[in-house]
Amino acid sequence: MLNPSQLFVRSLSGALIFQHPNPQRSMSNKLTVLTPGLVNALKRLAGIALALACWEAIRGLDLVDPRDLPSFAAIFRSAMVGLAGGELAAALLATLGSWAPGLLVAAVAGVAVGTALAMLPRLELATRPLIEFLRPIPSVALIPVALLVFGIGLQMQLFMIAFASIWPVLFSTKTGVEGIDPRFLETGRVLHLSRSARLFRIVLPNALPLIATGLRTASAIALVVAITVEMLTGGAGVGFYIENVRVNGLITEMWAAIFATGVLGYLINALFMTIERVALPWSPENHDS
Amino acid sequence: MIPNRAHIAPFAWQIGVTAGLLVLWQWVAVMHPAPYLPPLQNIALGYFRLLHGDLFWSAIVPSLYRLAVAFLAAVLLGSLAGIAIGSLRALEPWVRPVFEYLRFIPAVAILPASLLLFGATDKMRIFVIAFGSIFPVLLAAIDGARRVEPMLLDVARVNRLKVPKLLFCVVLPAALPSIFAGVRIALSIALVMMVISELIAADDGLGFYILRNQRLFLTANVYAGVLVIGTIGFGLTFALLSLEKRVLAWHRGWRGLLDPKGA
Repeated sequence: MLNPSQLFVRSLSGALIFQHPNPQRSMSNKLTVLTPGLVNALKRLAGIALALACWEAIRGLDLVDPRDLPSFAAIFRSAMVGLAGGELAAALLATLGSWAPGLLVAAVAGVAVGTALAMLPRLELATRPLIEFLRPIPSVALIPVALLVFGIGLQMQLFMIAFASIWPVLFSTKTGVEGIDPRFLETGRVLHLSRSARLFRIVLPNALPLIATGLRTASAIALVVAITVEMLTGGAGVGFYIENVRVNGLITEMWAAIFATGVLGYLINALFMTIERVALPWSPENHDS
Repeated sequence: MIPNRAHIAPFAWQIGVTAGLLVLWQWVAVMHPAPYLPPLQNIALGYFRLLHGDLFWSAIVPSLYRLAVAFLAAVLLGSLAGIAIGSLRALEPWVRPVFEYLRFIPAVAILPASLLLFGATDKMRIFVIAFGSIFPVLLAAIDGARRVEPMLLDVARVNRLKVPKLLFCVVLPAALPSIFAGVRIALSIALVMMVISELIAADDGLGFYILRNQRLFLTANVYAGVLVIGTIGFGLTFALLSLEKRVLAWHRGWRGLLDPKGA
């Protein structure tokens, strides 16, 4: 006979994953309308609804000043108004306008330097102390330095975005190029491929999956740095917009802009993932799941 | 073994390049004085002034305190919640979309909201640092807990392990390599958020120190502050890697059988 606590533990562990999946039980489900996929989607929606309910509960319980936490419906409405040709859309576009060129510079420079470091061991050796010295410095700490050198403006913002986001591209490129199977290179040499043909047709395609992963990391970092610089220096963009509406007491607009920024970050990540899946079908990342 | 040319050459290159850069910097600083190129001795002086006396207590200690509290909270909460969610497979579809969205909100964007809710207090800075660094730990812990070998769980069940014991003795160790990978990412994010929160809203800490000195055009102090932040970053990363090496000594990634995906 089991005591109640044992029974409780049993029922708990029944909910844990270590149960063997029981195919027969799921097959015998008579409600064929509720396919597992649909049930899953419903659970996801319910989870989101639950999170929104938590938000409203925090407001209702007076845990914080309710003026600081507007209702979610109001935030959503404000986001829609702001996105449909309002200031929020302009701010998000301005942020993207400095994010994209900064990231592009970082991508080109990162791939070039990473490849050079991986293919020229002497160069790597000679610059190792410099790189190991720069690497642990959080790039945002250099914003005051960039302000000294460039002053306030687009140039400084682009420099900061590029500098901060070059590192993941550089290191993943280096790892990718170093990890190439030596037999590929030997084959290229046997076929008398020129140095540049070997670089562009063997080394780089092989490193592309890792480069793409590094680029995806860099895109998130670039967004953070773009927003930080805007907040600090008041340049046009969503960072300045959020801070500005907060100072002016437009709380609903502030929350709307924060959640819209989250959607932007999500979309950027999704975009890079899609590009990776479509353009790099041989990437090991695409075989994981 | 007698060191020969081949052994010395690499170090000679490294020392040569480093010394060359330093000499170049100093030469330019002396010959063409500019506000953004202070002479090296001033930077060194600023660095040591930060490590001794008043500045240590008004710049380094507050920064480290907030970083430590927020980072430890993020690691603890993230790994506990992650293991719970990863083990309760039924729970995952409920929470995953929300986490997948929240993690893409740049933590800087949260800062003004946090300023509104908590005021310009340590609580607000700790919240922002923790918000930024919890998601890598949480998602890594979920993945780690999900990938426990079914055989281990079967053995645990056969031996009638209680749930808490099972979570701590089987699931947690199995998830640790994944969690450590998340913690490493979280540490670098926590450092970034520490600096940002002090640049934007603080009256002490290293971020405030470098921004104030930049406004006063005391450039050497700005560089000194950046160097101290870099030193902290280097020290913490090193400490974390040593801890990882120790805790995960059993994991094959650390034993020669290098498997880049498993490590």
